[in-house]
Amino acid sequence: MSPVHRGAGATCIRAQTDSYTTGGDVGARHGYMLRRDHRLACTQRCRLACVKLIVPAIEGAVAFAETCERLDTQETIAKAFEEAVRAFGLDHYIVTGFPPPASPLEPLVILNAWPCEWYQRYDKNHYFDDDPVGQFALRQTQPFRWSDVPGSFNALRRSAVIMEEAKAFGLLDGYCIPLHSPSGGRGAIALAARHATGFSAPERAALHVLALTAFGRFAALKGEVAAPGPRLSRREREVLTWIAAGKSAWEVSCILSIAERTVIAHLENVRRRLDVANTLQAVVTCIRLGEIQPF
Amino acid sequence: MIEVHVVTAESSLAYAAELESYHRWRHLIYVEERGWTDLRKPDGLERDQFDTPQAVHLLALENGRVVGGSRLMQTSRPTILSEVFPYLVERSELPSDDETLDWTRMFVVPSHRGAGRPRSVRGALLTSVMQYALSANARRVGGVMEAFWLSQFAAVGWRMQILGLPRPVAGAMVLAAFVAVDDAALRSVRASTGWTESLLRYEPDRRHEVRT
Repeated sequence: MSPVHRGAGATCIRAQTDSYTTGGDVGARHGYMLRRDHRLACTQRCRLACVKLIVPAIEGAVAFAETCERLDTQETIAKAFEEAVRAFGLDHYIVTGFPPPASPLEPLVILNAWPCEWYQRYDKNHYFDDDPVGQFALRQTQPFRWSDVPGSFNALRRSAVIMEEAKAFGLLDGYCIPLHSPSGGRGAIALAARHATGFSAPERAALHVLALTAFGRFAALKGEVAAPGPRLSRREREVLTWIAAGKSAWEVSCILSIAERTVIAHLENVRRRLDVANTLQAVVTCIRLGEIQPF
Repeated sequence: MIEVHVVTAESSLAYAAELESYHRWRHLIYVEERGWTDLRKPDGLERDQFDTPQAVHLLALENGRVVGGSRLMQTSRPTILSEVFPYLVERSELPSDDETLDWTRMFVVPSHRGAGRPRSVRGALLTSVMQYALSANARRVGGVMEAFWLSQFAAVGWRMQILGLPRPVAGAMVLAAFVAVDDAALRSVRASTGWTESLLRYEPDRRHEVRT
């Protein structure tokens, strides 16, 4: 496997299919599911006998999460993550932050196992701005399959072209897990396969666990780093958090016990400082920068 | 200057004003911001059946003002996990002992959420929960949580135990998980958050005027 590097000047990992498409591995994923009775104490009043399915890919993902605190270099995290992802039969993945509009993806990339030529094309043409998966990930908090992206994100002709080109490069079916780094910046792990995946709910949940914990370890290496760019005042952050939660300016004024015109003035200041056209863009920008967070 | 005050039944009278602010913030954040409308209360104070005299509330205060909080209780008593979400525990036994603490209702007020500065309120609360759990001789702390906490735990270097895979609850992926409580975990979170001094206080500081 070629070495993994991060950030600017990253080299790609070419998909090494020989490491997983042996009969044994495919069998482990689809055929060898062990069953055992597993007694759980669900309440103090009753005991239920439960049947638990043990699927190696799921076990691998949970094992990654439960031992990842020991992974303290880029290389060890990447190696363990790669192994766990391959167990799901996935060919490609990328771990990245979100770029500002009309900007390259490259400086935000943490780990890159995307097909090389596709990645270079994507980065050079700033495809992220019109990529339905990327744009949906910017606005979503929960994991999704690429086929789940609403039609409105595919409306632009360029968006449809991007998805078609992805298929041509071997990215047929994929998942995207939007993430918060501890420094507040938003990012995602995208995973893809050359074939339809059809993961069960537990498998998708296990991928979510794998993505969350891997992202957290990468973030631990970077340390807490304040994102560069415009900073909101405390009051502005407060107002924008409530707007992002779906409150109207009037509702925000009630929650904060300030005048509605004051709320509106704060929003105008934020739009001006961020140089955006409307409040929705201000919210999206602030989410991307980590200026508003859930906690 | 942020302090994290440990409020128990014994000190609840001394902290009456701060506790009211804390419950008001829990209502604003859990009902109004997160949309967990089942928790809505007519008086605007979020309290549930687990806010018993045995519960311990950590209140993050800045100049006497509540800027964050969290609730801890022993799993030897009923918890949200045991009473409402036991089905989230698939991979092991439901924790039910004095050495496992249940951790819920974590919040940071919106104005004090920050993009990655060291010594944030969130960092103070994470460090304080670990410090408190260690001082209470617990070996695990955790419970029902939104899945995004896993990346926070991984970032501060905590060892996790996944009790079940995430499931959708009210539009968010939620799971049962615990982190190991030990000296290494405290060292790790202190190094990660920048809060290297002890933040825990056990009585109110009346030098600041109490504001809600």
